[in-house]
Amino acid sequence: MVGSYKKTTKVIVSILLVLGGLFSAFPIFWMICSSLKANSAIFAWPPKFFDKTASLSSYIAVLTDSSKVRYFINSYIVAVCVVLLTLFVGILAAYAFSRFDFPGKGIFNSLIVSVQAIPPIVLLIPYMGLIVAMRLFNTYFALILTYLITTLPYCILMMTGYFNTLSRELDEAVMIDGGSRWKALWSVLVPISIPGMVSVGMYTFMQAWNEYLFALALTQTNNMRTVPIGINLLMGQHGYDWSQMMAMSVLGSIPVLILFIFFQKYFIAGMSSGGVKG
Amino acid sequence: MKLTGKKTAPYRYLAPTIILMIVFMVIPICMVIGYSFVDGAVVSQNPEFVGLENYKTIFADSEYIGAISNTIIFVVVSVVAHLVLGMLFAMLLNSKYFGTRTKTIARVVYILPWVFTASVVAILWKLMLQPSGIVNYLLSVFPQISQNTEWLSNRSIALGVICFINIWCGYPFYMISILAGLQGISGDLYESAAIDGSTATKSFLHITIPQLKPILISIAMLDFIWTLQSFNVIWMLTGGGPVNSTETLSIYIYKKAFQKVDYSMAATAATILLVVCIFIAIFYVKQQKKVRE
Amino acid sequence: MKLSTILKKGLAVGLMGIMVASLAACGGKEEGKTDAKTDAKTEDGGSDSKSSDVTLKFQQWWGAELPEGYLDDICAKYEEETGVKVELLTAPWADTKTAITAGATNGTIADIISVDGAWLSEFVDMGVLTDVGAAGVDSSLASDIWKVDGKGYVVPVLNFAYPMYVNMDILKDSGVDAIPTTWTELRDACKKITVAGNSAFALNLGTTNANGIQNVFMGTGWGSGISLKDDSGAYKTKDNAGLASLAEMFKGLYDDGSLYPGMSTLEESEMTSNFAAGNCAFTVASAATMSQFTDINFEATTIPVKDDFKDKSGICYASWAVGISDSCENKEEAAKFINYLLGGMDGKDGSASAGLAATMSAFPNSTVAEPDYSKAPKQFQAYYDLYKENYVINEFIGLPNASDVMTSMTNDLTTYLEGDIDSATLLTNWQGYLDEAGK
Repeated sequence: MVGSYKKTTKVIVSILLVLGGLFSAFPIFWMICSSLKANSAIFAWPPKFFDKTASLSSYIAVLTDSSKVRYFINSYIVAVCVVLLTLFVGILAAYAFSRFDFPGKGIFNSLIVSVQAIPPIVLLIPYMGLIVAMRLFNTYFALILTYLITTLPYCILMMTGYFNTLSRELDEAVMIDGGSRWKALWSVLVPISIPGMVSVGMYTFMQAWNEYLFALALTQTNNMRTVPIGINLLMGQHGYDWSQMMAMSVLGSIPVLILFIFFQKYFIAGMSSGGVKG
Repeated sequence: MKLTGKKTAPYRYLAPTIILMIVFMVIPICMVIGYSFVDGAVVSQNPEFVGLENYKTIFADSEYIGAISNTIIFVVVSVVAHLVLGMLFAMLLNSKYFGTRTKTIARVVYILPWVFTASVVAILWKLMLQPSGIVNYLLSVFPQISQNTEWLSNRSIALGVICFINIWCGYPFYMISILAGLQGISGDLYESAAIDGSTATKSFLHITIPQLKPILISIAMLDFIWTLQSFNVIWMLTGGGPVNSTETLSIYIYKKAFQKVDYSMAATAATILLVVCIFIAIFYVKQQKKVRE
Repeated sequence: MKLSTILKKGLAVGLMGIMVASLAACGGKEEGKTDAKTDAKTEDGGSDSKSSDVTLKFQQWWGAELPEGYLDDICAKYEEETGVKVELLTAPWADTKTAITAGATNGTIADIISVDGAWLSEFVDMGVLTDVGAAGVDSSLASDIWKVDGKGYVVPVLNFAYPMYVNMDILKDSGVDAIPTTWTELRDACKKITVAGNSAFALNLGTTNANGIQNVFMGTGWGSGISLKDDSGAYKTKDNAGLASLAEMFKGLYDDGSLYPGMSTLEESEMTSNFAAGNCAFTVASAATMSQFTDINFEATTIPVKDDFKDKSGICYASWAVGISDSCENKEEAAKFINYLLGGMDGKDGSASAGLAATMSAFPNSTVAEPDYSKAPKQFQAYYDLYKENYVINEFIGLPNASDVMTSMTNDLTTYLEGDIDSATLLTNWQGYLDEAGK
């Protein structure tokens, strides 16, 4: 009896797993199919997964276009710098929130949550004014700074949660040995927090890689544009290049997926501790 | 050496964050709040101070009221469905019925919707939901659905379809977080419950849910704020249409700011949103304090 | 904290700073150029234009639509001739207005900006644009210059006419022998096409970019001499009998089930892609899209007219047009470049303009360009004759708050077609939007 009950459960769970997989992956599969078609075949009725126009020409068109390759390089540079900076600044703040009680803690904490609440569209014009005044307009630094600020709140919340799960005795041990708090943070807490940092880093990378509005307004010349702008440039006034758009999105998602596959063990563990005691 | 004293230590660690936040967030936000009290902000050389006039105007605007109700539906449905789906998929990926390799592959497949930029998500679904798109083709096995079935352009279901798409591209964030939370629950709890004769449903309700509660509240809170601002997907799918039936607050604000070039009204709407979110933030911080204690 | 830790902390921050600064330097090249431009102004006080220090920034979306490098080549040629560098700033079409608005309020706007007819009035109100005549644009080179309150602000370079495309295979398949030329014929043809199981007429009423009201709906009206304005030139939609008959014609098509499904979120780009895939029989779209229709048997013609209408047809058009930004420091140089686009170095050489026109299946606004359409699709060459017999019109160009008004008008049109309001209410509402915008 118990055996057959278990078997039925396994069958049901397996079916659910496949259905869930279809739900999440089918649109992506359709994206790949579309990226392989000729532009005029994408709207054909009845729709086919693969038709006689199937080729890699959209991918070749993207990869042989030097300005599009430049978009990818720009996105990498920006995203990597944002991840490093966000982690550095965020860890410092998280350490303060986790290890100290000080006047104004609650205010700072709610400030960090609530600054996320203003729609970026409204913030755009005054924010851009600051960037221009600081002579950062149309530089990588403008984008890096922007994404640093938008991803910091999440980083601080998650890293605070993570540090809270680590015993205070760890840093006290360092300090008893004559080390400073600074040393305790970087030589003890940070190394064992790598999973948490990976999870925050993944999120940050994704945000920086995919952001559109500020990238549009804060950069101006072709050599500063990022991948999302490149994709939208394919949406013309008179027609869209659907298949190249799809090809560029597929190509754009690959680095994120590789990162995820590479880091997924850490990713899962990291989210855990950060979230649970969050 | 007062600067390096013990009392200032936390502030020194916080300094970079505080400076960045004040210069690049608080100052622009204050400017936005300022815009909401003048007429012709940004555009006009000499904006005129009008006090609370903009707030009176906005609450008299039926389009704004409509946008509020659409936003509430959109946000509540999205957040709840994200939670439920995220929980379901996380339980699946955590179940003991599958091998490590299956789980690894499934994990990658399940996060796929999360890695695409918003405009691509919109374009992709627009392609699929075309009258001559793949969705109508596959669903035409049902007699009610044909090449003429409308999804996004049907006023009564458009908001639902938008919610569905937002759910699709947002659940992996929950799934990953919940999955992580599940790994953190000690197996002993379930074992002792099983010894006491507890069923699977009971242990889910009495162990899993309470253990996950802090993380669930945290991510729901963040998701609530993020979904409130969700703009690109809706804008590129429907532009707020058909006939404003999918117009959320972020679309309303964009239309005011960049279509009508009425920055003051956009700022007014944004300020109201900010006030609401500050209350949520205070609640969030209080809840976090409770968890810690 | 000890001194050593402060040092360490400083070192870490410093390293980050160096990394970031070097990146900023990589990205800083553009700023250097801007400085050079400012310097140029002080140094060469407008002597002969061979000075190589002037850089004009040209904000447009055309580069993304033209064959790769086409626009760059024009600019390179111009630099060769004059020593003035024209730097292309390309933004996605749908967000060019956002980019220009944000740039204008923060002083990062380009010197020459491309402007859509729907943005004209707002940009003038915001003081973004300068009087092109005063800057030195030669008005004899342009057939048309867009004016607001008597001052010319924007010069079209290319005009895109909006023909009606007809899928001949669908017509044949549905037993329609000839391309309809009147509304009655159109409605009958659509009925036959629908009965035969095909989709008939595409009307794009999506509001991400609400231009179907202009290109398709009013395009059909202008074809029959129906106007949004009265004889005095004021917007008059309330009790406008012509508009009422136009609305009723579309209502008829809607009630017959002849309009392409999904109209209320249909965007121009999807509409043309659907036509290109052979999914519908009639569509009204820019002549520039013609080159995409490679797989179907189609014709391009003027839109059918009201049954008793005998006059010339108005043909809806959109433009690639340029203006000079008010904050431009080299307005004269900018004007010279615009003159070059229209009439070459000597004001007689329309080859740049003609080349652009032929490449985009468009009509030049230049008075000296003689485009060679021999390589254009044969349907375009046939349409060219129709174009010459008729005239172009677009009553939305220069309309205050055009994007917002067009969105509101579109929403009401959808409501009307779906049967929730009557045509009198529709036209009264429109009058309200137009009056409100005019204030």
